Amino acid sequence: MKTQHTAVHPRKKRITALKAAPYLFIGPAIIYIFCVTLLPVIMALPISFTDWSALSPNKNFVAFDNYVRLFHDKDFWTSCLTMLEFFIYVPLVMLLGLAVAVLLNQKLKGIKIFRVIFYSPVITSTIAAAILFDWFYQPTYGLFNAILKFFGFSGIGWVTDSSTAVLSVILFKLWKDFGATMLIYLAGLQDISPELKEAAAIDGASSWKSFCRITFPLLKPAHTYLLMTKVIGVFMIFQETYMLEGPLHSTRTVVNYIYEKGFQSFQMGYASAMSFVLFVIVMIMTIIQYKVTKMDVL
Amino acid sequence: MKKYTKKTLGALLAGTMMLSALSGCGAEKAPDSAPADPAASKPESQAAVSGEPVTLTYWQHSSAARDEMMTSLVERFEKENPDIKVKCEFIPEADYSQKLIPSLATDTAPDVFQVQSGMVPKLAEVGAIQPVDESVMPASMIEQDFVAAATDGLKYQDKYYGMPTDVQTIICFWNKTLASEAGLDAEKGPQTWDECFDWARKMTKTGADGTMSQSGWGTKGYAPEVLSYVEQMGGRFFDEEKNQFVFADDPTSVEAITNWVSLYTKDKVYDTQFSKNWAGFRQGLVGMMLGHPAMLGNLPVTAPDLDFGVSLIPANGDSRASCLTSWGYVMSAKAPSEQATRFIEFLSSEAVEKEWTLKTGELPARKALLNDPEILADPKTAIAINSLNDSFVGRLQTGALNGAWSEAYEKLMHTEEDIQTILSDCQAKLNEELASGL
Repeated sequence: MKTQHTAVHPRKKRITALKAAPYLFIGPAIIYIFCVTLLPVIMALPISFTDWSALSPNKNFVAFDNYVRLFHDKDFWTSCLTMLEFFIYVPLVMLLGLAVAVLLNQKLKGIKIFRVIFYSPVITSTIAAAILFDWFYQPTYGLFNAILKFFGFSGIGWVTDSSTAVLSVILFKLWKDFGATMLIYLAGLQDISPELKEAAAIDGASSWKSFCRITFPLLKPAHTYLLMTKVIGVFMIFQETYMLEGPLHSTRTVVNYIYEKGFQSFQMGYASAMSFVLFVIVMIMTIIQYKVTKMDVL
Repeated sequence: MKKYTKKTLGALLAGTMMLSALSGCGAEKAPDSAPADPAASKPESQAAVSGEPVTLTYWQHSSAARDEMMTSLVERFEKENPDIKVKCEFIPEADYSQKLIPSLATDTAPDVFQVQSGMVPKLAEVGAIQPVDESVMPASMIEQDFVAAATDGLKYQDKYYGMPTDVQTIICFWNKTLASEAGLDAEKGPQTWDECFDWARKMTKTGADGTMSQSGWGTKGYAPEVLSYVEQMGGRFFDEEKNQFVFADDPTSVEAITNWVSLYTKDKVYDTQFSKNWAGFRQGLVGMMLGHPAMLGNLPVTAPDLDFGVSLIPANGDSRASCLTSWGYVMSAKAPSEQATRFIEFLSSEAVEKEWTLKTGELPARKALLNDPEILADPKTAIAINSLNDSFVGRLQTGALNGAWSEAYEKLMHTEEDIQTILSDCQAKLNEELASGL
C-alpha cells in the first residue's frame, strides 16, 4: 500500500503563521479589554433599567424611567454643555503639539534633552500636578497672577471664578497632554522623506509652502489618530475637573456628574443610564470621524 | 492585508478605544451581582470547629500617621486575642469610596471598615452592615460610656452599628498677632457670636480699589460651622422624627443662615478669590477660622511660626453648641459577628482612644477620657475635649449631602438669587438624597 503524503508544505506553513501573527499579538489585549471593559459595559445596560443603589441586593425593574428622568434632568444637560466647552482643547492641543514637534524635529545638539523635558508632564501624576496648579492659580498669591502683574496686567480669578474656571482646566490639560501629541507628530515628521522637501525647495517652494503642501498633508494619519483620541479624551475628562473644581459647578462634566450620582448618591441605575447615553454619543461621534477620515491611519 | 480586513480591524480598534474611554463612566464600577445572604457565609462556625484563628479583613482610608498607628494597634490586638488575625488594607482617601461600594455590592467587602457616620443608616437599612454583637458591646454599656453625639449617628432602629472614630467638633482659632493689631483681646478670643462677627469685621482689610489684603474670617459656609450657629440660634435644621431636613421651613434657621451669609456678601470679611481659607490662616492673611480640633495637630507642623489662640465655639447667652462629625468602625453583613465586634471594641477602648488622641489630636468618644489629666494637660487640647460637652450630631455626613449643601452655599455667596428659594431647593435636594439610593 502506498503511504499517503500528508505533510504541509513548509512555505504554506510560514504563510499561515504570518497570517496568524497579528491576531496573536493583539489577542491578549483584546481579551483583556473584553473582560475588564466591554463585559462590564454590557452588564451595565440591564442595570440602567433598574433602580439599583449598589449598596443593596434590591434591584427593581423601572423600565425607561432612568432615561426619561435623564432627559428632564437640568444638571445632566448643564454638565453636557460644560463638556462641550472643553472641545476647544482638541484643536489647541493638536496645534501646540504640532508646533513643538516641528521645533524638536531639528537636528540640534541636545535636542533629545528638550524632547524629554517637553514629554515629562505626560508621565507626571495628574492629581499631583493638579494640586500644584491649584496653587499656581491662587488669585492673590499664585504664580500665574504674579506673572500677569509683572507684565502690567491685572490678575484673574482662575479656578475660583466661574467665568474662567474652564479656561484654567483647559490650560492645565494642555500643559499635561501636549507632550503626548508632540510625540505622535514627531514620529510622523520623522517618517516623511527629506527628499520630498528637498525637491520642493529646488522647485522654489518656501519653507511655509513646503510645510503646508507637503508636511501637513503627509501627517494625516497622525491628525486622524490624534483627533479621534483627543475627542474621546474630552468625553472622559474627570480627574482634572475633579481636582480643579470651579464654583457653581462651572467645571462639572458629564463624567463628574455620573460619578456623583453613582458613588455619592448611590443611584447606580441612573448613573448607568447616563453612561449609556454618553456611550451612544461617543459612538456616534467616533463613527462620524471614522467615516470622514476613512481611517487611512490604519 | 485586504482593504475590508483593514477596515474591520480599524473599526474593532476604534470600538475598543471608545469603550476604554468610557470605562471610567461608572459602567465597570457597577457590577451586576448583589450581596449574598449575610448569614450564608460566616466563617465563625468554621473557625470554632477547626480551632484555627479567624482572620478579619480591615480597611481604612490611608494617611502615613494613621496607617503606622493602626499597624501597631493590630499587632497588639493579635497578641491579646490569639484566636483572631487581622489583615489590614490602607486605601487612599480619594479611592476609598470607589473601592468600598463595589465590594459591598459583590460580597467582597472587608469584615471591618471605616465609613462616614452619615452612611451608617443607609448601609444598615439595606443590610450591608450588621449591628455590633450585644454579647460583646451591650447597648447599655455604649450609652453609659460614650458621648451621645458621637454614637447617635451610628444607631439605626435602636441598634448600634458601629463605634466612632475620627471624631471632630467645631472650635475657634484666631491669629493673635492680627487680633492685637486690630485692638482685640488676643488672649481671650471672641466669646459670643456678636463678638465673633465684630472680630471678623475689624480684622478685615480692603484697599481703596476694593481688593482684599486681609480677611477677618475665612468662612465659606462649611456645613458643621453653619449647623452649629443655627443650633445655637435656636433653629431647627433637621427633624429627627420625620428624618427630614426642615431648615428652609423654619424662619429661625433661615434668619441665622441669612446672617451668616451676610458676613460674606455684605460685610465682605472673606473673598474666595483672595486666598484659600486655611492656607491664608497659615500664612497670616486670614484672622480667624472655625474648624476641627484636628487643626491643633496640623497647624504647629504646617505653620510653625503662627501664633494662634483657641477657644470654644462662641456662645449665645450661656449656651454653646458644637456640631460633631465622625466616621465609624462598622462590620459588613458577612463578618463573624463576635470577633469583628471584639476588634471594634478594642479600637474604641479607653486605652486605644487615649493613645489615638495623644498622638493624632483626634477627639476621644469615651466619657472617661473627658477628664483624663494626661489629655487635659495641654490647654489647647483641653479646650477641644471640652467642646464635646456641648456637641450635637451633624446631619450632613455623606459626600452627597455635603455636596448639595456646598452647592447651595456657593449660590448664596456668588449669586443674587433669593435666599429662601435657594434654601428650599437645597432642602428638597437633601431630602431626596436621604430617600434615594436604597
